[in-house]
Amino acid sequence: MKPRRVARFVDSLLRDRRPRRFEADTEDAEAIRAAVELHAAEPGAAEPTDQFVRQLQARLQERIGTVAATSADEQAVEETLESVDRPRMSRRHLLEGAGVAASTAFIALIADRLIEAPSATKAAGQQPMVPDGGQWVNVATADRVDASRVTAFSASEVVGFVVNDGGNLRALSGICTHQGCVLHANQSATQLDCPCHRAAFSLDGKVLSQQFAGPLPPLPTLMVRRVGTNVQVLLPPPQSV
Amino acid sequence: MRRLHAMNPEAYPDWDSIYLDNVQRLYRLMYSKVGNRPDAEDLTSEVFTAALRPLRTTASKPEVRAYLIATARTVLARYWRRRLGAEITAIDIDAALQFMDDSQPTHKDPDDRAARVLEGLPERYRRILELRFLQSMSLREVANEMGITVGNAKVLQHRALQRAAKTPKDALP
Repeated sequence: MKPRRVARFVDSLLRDRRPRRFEADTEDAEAIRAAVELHAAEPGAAEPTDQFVRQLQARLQERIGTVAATSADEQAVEETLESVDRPRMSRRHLLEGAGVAASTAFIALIADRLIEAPSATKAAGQQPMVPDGGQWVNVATADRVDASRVTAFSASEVVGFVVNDGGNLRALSGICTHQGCVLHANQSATQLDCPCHRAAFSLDGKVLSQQFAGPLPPLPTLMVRRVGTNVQVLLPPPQSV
Repeated sequence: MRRLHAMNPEAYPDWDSIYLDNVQRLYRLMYSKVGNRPDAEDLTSEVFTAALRPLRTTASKPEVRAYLIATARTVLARYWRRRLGAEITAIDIDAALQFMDDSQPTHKDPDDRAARVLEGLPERYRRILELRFLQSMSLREVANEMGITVGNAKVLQHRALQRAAKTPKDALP
């Protein structure tokens, strides 16, 4: 705990200055989160100045004259949008945004893109695992995933499960959040069991049971998508040894 | 892979309209996550600059917003990792999409939120945060007001903030 560093950080926030960097521990991080939220809640504070809006606009206009979009950019947009975890961008939201003039083709297209959306709600505190510089990697064939409720996969950096929920796919980390043992699906493929201390997780990553004190975090989710005959998960780039 | 913009009925006509339609809300989103103007401006600029090239090829409002938000999430995560070595705040995609959607009223009154957080705190914790955040007193002034040393005020502030962090809040974007 570093009350002095935190106090300095809070001072900067209150004076609307750029706070200095330091290594925050968990307690510091909590305190600073509260400070950010309290300060951001002050009325009127959150509006950008006209000057900022105009200057950035001018800067961007200048740049846009000098860059041309490439097909690689298009690819990047597609991939980012897929990694946004489609499910949480609801159909209603998309269609509203598209307006009443939305053509049937557009609706069909959106519906098509949403088809991979997992329907389950997120477990409390559940975090998506989005690796830096992530790459889509084939982890199983679509046939195999379609044939069973749970498909375990093991890639070079991550082990996990692809869960097939009535055709909707979801991917979860396969490591117990207690002490890091590798989970396995139980015989009837209804839950994920830890061999070490008998913790069990549901197929959407929630904690079903545990035998030790203290809260156990849910399993992180992974980005998953179906591409042709393969199922892919967003994984960290392979590490060279 | 399909290209959405090929058949999209509601497209932004040009980059400027993408920018003008989204800059305010994106800034507000960033401000709510970092709590200070210079950083909120930097991060907003970073998101638009990163999105400038790729977004020239995309079209619909929801797609553009989803892309901006995804970019913002990455930019914010990197900011916190560099600044404090920990992700202090994060962007929730779903809440942010709602926040960016101008057809929806911006939900909670921010004042309420601060008041609600402070309300639940023990007396001394609430007092120091009120003096700091609502009355904008310096730590020294707070120390005088409360009859404690500046050093103690720092520790009290730290504990009060930690406790405030544990107050459950409505989902913010």
